[in-house]
Amino acid sequence: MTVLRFTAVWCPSCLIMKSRWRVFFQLRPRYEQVDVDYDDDRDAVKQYGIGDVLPVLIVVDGTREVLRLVGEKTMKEMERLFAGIEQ
Amino acid sequence: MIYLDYSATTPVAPEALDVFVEAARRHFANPNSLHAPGVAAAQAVAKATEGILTTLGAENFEVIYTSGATEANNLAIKGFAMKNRKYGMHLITTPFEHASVTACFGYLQNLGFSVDLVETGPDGKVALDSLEHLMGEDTILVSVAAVNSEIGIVQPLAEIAAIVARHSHAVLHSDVTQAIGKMQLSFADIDLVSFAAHKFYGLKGIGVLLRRPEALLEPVIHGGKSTTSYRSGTPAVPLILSMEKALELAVSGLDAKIKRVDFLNQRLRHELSSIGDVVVNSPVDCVPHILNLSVLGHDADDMLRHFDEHGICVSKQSACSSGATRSETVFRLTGDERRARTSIRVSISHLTTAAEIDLFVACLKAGLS
Repeated sequence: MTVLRFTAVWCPSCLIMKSRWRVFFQLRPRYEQVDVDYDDDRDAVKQYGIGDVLPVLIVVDGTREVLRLVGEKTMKEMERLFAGIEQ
Repeated sequence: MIYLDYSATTPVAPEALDVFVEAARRHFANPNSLHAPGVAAAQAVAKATEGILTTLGAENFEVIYTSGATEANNLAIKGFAMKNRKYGMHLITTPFEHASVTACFGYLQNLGFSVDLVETGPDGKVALDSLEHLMGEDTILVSVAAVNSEIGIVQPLAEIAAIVARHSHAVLHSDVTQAIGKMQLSFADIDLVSFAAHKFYGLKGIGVLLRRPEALLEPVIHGGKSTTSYRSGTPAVPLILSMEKALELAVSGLDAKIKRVDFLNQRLRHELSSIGDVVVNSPVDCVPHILNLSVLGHDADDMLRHFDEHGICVSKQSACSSGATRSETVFRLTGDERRARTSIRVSISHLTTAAEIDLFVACLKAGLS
């Protein structure tokens, strides 16, 4: 599965979540991670319907979106939400 | 027009504009030139620099002239981090910084630096125990704005500086752009300080980074040595001289100006308290110059248009919001999505009148009805 991570450099929540994601995905090497810059890749922003809250993390299985996390999430929230798609 | 957007920018003081015009005529020569007009221009810059340092009580700093606070913040954060990464790659900031600070941290994070955002209390102030906890052997830089631009939160810089000073490789940078001319400032134990002239009735296009000698930087703009080796480019003599005058005026009679603005702030808060759909987001101990409020049930853009149609200039800020209306800052402080999507910033000055405040309130009420 692929994880798309929509962030912007000027976004404090993105700073926080990028640190958390680094730790979180170290334990989950099965996910391919793709960073998408909110300002640079407007086509992807439009394609995935990114709203007005950043960051956005989207898990894609093939072409199917299986999980979307918007805004800040704690490690526990991420573990719970990922457990739902890993069953 | 009723201008209530002084935190976005201020009208230039006539005296500062006069200095600019006179200096543009008299000191057009390049201060880096060795001929007599160049030397005269260099001497004028040196005199203005001395005046700026004296006015700020910052005699132990070097003045680095920049194009504004954004460039000064970039030079302070990126310049210090890149120069000092051999000592560590851990950086700390707050969630209430201007985008020109946050974006530098985002840039450095993408380069491999480790970035932590310190926890803040319900009033938005830095939680000192959280900062103490985050500080480590590899921490090299902490950046905290003296005053938040959107809500007006005043940070306890002296206490923060004391914590940072206990760590040998760490320095403290503060963006004081929203603090100069709004509060009494002390730069004790702060190593890097940035600001721009246009926030205190100076002209746009000139800013400063104050640097203590031990805070070494890597230049962001490379070129020949100018007034400093840290920032190349021909010094903007008229802007520099004009900024010195603007600064002198901004701190002159400051206590009386603050008292006046505080009176206007209290008047505005009192009037707003009787309007049902309005909540004030700025805690009471913010600078009185900034009052952030939410008009519940009314999109911020719609309210701004309403005010604009009636000749009233206010603003909103939406840092870290990809849309046009949601304020990340207000959401972080209040935890209320409705308030975050309906917030507007009223920023006043000693030039604001009570009648203007009353007209703003009347216009707000009219917009609600």
